[in-house]
Amino acid sequence: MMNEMVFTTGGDWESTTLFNNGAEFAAAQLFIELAAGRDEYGNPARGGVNLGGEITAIVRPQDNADEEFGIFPGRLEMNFPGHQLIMENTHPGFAFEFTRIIYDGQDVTNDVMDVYVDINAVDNVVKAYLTLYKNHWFSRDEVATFNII
Amino acid sequence: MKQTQHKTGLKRIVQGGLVAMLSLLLVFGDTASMAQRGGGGRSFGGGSFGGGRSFGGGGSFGGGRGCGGSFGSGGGSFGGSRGSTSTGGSSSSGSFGGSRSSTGSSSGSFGGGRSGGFGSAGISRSTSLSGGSYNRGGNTFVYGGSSYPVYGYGGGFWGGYSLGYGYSPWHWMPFHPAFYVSPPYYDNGMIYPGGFSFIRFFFGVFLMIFGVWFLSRLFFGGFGGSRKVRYTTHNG
Repeated sequence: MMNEMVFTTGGDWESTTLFNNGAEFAAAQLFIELAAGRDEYGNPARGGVNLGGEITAIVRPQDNADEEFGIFPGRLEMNFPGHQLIMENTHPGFAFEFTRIIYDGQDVTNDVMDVYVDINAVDNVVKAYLTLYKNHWFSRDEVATFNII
Repeated sequence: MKQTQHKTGLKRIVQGGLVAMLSLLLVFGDTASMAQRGGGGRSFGGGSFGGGRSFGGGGSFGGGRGCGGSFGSGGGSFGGSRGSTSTGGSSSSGSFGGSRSSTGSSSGSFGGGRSGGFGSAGISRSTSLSGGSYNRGGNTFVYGGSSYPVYGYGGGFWGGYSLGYGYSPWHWMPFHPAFYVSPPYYDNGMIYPGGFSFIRFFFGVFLMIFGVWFLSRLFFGGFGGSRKVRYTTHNG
């Protein structure tokens, strides 16, 4: 069964919720780490997910923080104050190249280099950022990191 | 849950293949164009197109030398005879295979035809001509339906390209030598082949640099994959 997760935070723990398939999921941690958009030597390159990479996407339940559940295959919508990040991989085998990433309504799948989301209620850690490879014709290409929260 | 996959190698191979195919297309297209014009690059530059020697020496036209002689006599008749319009002997390609006598007979009418043509075609002095065609057999240049004598049997390597100016779309591309010559021009009763054009040369160099840059940006995102990037951070 596909997971349909929606994470929402208003900037504090009271307003932070996680729903999975319409039911609230009491989580201790939401952790996403994606690395892509690099050439065979590890240098930044244009291509995003098409260049291959690796992804870790898990949630830890509140009642047993040592346990972890995989989010994909499925869809994860993360709503931060002023930003929205959607990650999707509906391939039954969770093939990496089927990952899609949409940031603030824009498909950045072919530009993404890093996605890092760590919402850890146990350790009181809140961190989320996105790194994109931005190709420019007449100036140097740019590796842009967007701090989401 | 962790998933890892790399497929950078395949993408590089596909991109490299596309560039190689494009390069081959350009090279073979150029060769085909040259063969169509003069039967290969050697005969091109050597003069079967633009040079007088291979024209006379080959004799394949059945009257190379005779044609040369008649041309000389025709030159003398430029100013004199005006009545005849039978330039067909020299202007039509079918006359190449004709006898010497027919070529010779055309010499007398040559001047008349051409001198009449100058007035009717309205070519003024030092007019640059492009789009005409060179008639090797009669060493004439056909422009605007009229035939004009060519100075110096085509003028050698660059002259040959110049007289063939406008024949092929490849001439308008910087990877063909004909791109770098000026079109022929009319001056004082003769057609002179245009020479090497430095303006076109610099323009061609610019075009080729631009092309390499464009393709490298399109397929590799930079020259040799060593393009430097700048790092920026955006908050909020």
